[in-house]
Amino acid sequence: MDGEELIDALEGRGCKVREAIEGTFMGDAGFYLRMLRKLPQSKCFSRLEAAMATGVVRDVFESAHELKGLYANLGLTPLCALASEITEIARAGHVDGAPGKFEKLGGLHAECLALLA
Amino acid sequence: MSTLVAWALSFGCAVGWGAFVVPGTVFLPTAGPLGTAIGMAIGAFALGVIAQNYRFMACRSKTAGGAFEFAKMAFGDDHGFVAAWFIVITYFAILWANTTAVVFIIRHLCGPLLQFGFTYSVMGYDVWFGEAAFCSATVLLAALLCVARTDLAIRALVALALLAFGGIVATFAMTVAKTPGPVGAMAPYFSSGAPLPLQILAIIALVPWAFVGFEAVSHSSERFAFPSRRVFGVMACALAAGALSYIMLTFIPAMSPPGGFASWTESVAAGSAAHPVPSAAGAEQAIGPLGTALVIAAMTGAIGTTLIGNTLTLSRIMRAMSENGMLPDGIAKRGRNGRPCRAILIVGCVSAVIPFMGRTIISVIVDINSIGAAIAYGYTSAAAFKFARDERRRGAAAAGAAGVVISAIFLTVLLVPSIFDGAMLSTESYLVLGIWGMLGLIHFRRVFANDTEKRFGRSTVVWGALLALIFSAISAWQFEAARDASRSMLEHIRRARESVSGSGMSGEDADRFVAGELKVIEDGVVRKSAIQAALLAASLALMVNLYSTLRRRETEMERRKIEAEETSRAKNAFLANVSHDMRTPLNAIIGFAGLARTDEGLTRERMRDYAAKIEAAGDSLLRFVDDILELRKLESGTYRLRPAPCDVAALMDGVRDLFATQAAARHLDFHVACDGLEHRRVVCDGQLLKRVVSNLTGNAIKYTPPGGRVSVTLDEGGEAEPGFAAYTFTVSDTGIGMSREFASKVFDAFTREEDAASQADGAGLGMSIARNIVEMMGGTIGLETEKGKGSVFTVKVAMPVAGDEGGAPGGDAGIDAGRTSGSTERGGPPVRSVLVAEDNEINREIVGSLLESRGIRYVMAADGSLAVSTLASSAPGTFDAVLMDMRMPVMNGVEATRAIRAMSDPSLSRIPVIALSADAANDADVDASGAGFDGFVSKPVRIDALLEAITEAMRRREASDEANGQMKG
Repeated sequence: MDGEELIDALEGRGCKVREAIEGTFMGDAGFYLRMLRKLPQSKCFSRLEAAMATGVVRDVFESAHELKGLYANLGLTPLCALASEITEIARAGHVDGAPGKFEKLGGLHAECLALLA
Repeated sequence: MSTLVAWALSFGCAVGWGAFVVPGTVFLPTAGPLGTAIGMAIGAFALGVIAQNYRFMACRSKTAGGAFEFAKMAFGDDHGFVAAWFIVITYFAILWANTTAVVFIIRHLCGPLLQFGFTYSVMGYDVWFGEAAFCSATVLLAALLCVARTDLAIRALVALALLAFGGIVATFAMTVAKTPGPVGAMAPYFSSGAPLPLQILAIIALVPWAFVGFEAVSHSSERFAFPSRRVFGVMACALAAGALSYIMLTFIPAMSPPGGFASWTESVAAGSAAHPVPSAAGAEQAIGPLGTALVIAAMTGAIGTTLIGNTLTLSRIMRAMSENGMLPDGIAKRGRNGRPCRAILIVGCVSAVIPFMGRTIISVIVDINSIGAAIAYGYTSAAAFKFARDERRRGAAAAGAAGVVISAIFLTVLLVPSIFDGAMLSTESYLVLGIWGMLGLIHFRRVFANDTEKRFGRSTVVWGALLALIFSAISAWQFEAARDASRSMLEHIRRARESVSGSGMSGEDADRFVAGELKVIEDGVVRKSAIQAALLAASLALMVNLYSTLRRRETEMERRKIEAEETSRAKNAFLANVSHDMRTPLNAIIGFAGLARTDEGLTRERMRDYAAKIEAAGDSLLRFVDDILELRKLESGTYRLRPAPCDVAALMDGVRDLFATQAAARHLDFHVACDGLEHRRVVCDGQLLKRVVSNLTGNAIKYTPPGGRVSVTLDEGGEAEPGFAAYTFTVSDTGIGMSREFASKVFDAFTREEDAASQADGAGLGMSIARNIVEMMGGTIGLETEKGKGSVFTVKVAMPVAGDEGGAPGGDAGIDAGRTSGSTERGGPPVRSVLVAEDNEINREIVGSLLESRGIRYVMAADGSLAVSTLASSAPGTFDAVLMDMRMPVMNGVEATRAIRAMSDPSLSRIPVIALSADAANDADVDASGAGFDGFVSKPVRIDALLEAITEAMRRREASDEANGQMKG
């Protein structure tokens, strides 16, 4: 999938990629794609996955917060929203309801990785 | 709650508006008065068996609950969901049917008084705003009464139930008294249609519809003021009262046929349009206006009990579903009076909308009550059978089995339309049943997705059964629709023939007429087939989706189980290894201590020898324990690196010094080199890095035979982020090498190759510790080896270049020099160099590239601790500002900023620090942290915002410094 197709595919999934390219990446789509293609190597998601598995609220908060920032920079809006919801749940001192959101996030994250494959 | 209240609840849920209509319009034409009485009696007996099963299960249920709770207890949450799903629609349908029936009482008492406002027709039923609004207000009032004054609602329920039953009995008694020869007046005693057994069976099949009320009792059990074993007695009394009511309300129009006909058969043949409530019409004919008044009073009582009883029962069922994750959490919340107020209000509000949809739709939904009730009875009986069998209680098990058979018969008769001449349900009811089943699948999909406790999805059989029910219902709908269409066509042909009798219809006209009729049927079949196909396809798709999700979850659970087993195995292996490696030196200590104690001719020299051996074994044990503790810390992630400026060339010199003597003693060609380094000083945990290199070097020396060669080299080069330097440590030897099998697990703890283990001591932890340290530093460790030829270990790690490394302006070699300084469009002090603390590698690269695009030099730190040490070791003025991510491992942004503010050098401690965070609304938190941030930038980062924040912070800092200078001056 070439860069433009990838951007279209992500936009089609509700991501605000073009906004991110203009805002964060100063209109440089190549720079954006270079960063996006690093997503599969990032350990952020695995850290959240591990935190969810152990259920340690602080770890869930830290790792979800980190993911939130990453998704925000990359314009992956729906993923950012879910990471943000998990962050807020954990900020409240529990993980009730977080697994459902994490499952959804996992699906979207996997979808992104599939597009990047 | 007394037995009388429980009776009133059960009776109220069973006998409502329908009890005054159906006996005259359905029971009588189906089986005649005696057939109805026999059918009702047999049906009541059959339901007595079900009531016994309810009692049996109520005594075993720890909480209040009906078929839902029992199905859950016996077969799991999936079955509980199915039971609850059908019970809910059953009770809602009864409530809605009685809500909309209020209008009939109003019309009788007030005529068209409430027929004002707008009007419209829904499926042939005329809805008037005034009437619909009154019905809505009635059901809302009932709900509000249940919420606000439950005690009053309960009292009203009992009074209304007594009014209903008393009214029916009084009406019946007076009708008997006023009818000459009442028994003879009811002739013929059976219907003339189907064979007698089928007539009676048809009445029995309607019994579940007539006696929906058991749940009302079992769901109230937590409020019982009597033992659960009395539940059967209460239900039996409600059953008896219900059966008697239905029989009496059948006998009234049979004794006194509405319309002044000589017998009920003629009255039935004349149709029910003129007398929609045959019991009332019959009573009026026999007794006069008093009869009507009595029936209206009884009807008011029956509808009132149904509104209150069903609202309370439904709210309890919904609360139970909510508590079990099948409905949103908030529904289960109880009010101050302990009642599920939210659930009651939801029931009231949902029901308040229904009167605006007319009665025809509701009559279609009401028909599936029998199915819902039969499913609930089936589950309760099956649960009773299971529990009774487990408890070896034969009588109860027999009752449970009988209940299952009875429920199965009910379901079969209801779902298979061709058993009787006409179906037991209306045609559209089958469609409603199919759609409700499909909605159940959709809702279950949601429940399943939110099921964090993995309670659902354990029984695929139940979902197969639900799918079969949907298929059966939709097929029955198609079958019945085709039969209706055929009958309609025959009726049209008959009418056409009658209309042209005498004049005759030409062959061409007849052909055209039949073709037209066939076209209508064909269109209907095509339309319904499309709906059928769509519903079936949607149900199948849902099932497939559900199944695949289930499989994924099972696979995941299986994976976790395997992981847990592996962890357990690893733990056992660990304990075995620890035990073994501790015993070896301990045996030596005990052995030599024993020798020292028992050796009669112990010389001083030999004693020294023993003591030296004991000391060596003790040292070995201590090292082992230290290694274990260190490994545990490393693997658990609690080990913290202590980064500080470090000279890697000096580190290599240290390694050379450490091993030179040992290598010489073993006659090895030992060579250490680190030529051509561009950056000697980096920020890292030098102690740990040295430990890694030492571990590898020590092993190389240990496993290389005399005359061999051991080489330790350090090279700089390769890809590294700006401000970082990449290094490769290589430890090679010409030693004994490793087998391919052992090489694959050399970095696992407690691994030693058999022949190598005999050559040297050690617990096999060194390589595991080395790997953990390297990975913690963000590096990699690799091995190339060949048995008998030697090994080459390679450690690759990138480290931030220390600030005191000479070369670049400002004193930092990690900073690119010569770029244009960045500044904002608004001007302000130019930003030349920034220290960025950000743990996420992608975000680091993004921020770095953004700064680079504005010609701003930067150094990256992967956590707060590294940022602090980098700043601390930098020359004053190297950095104009620090961009500090708030959430980082090791040391977060707040802690790192506090550490910076605590630095003794004011040129460092007063550096502007700008917080970076993904929390858009977190600037208040940043201020509140008190760490001393000078600004806040939210992610996603924007270079302009970033520069704006930095320059603003620098401007404020400069202004503040100037002010301080003037004050001091």
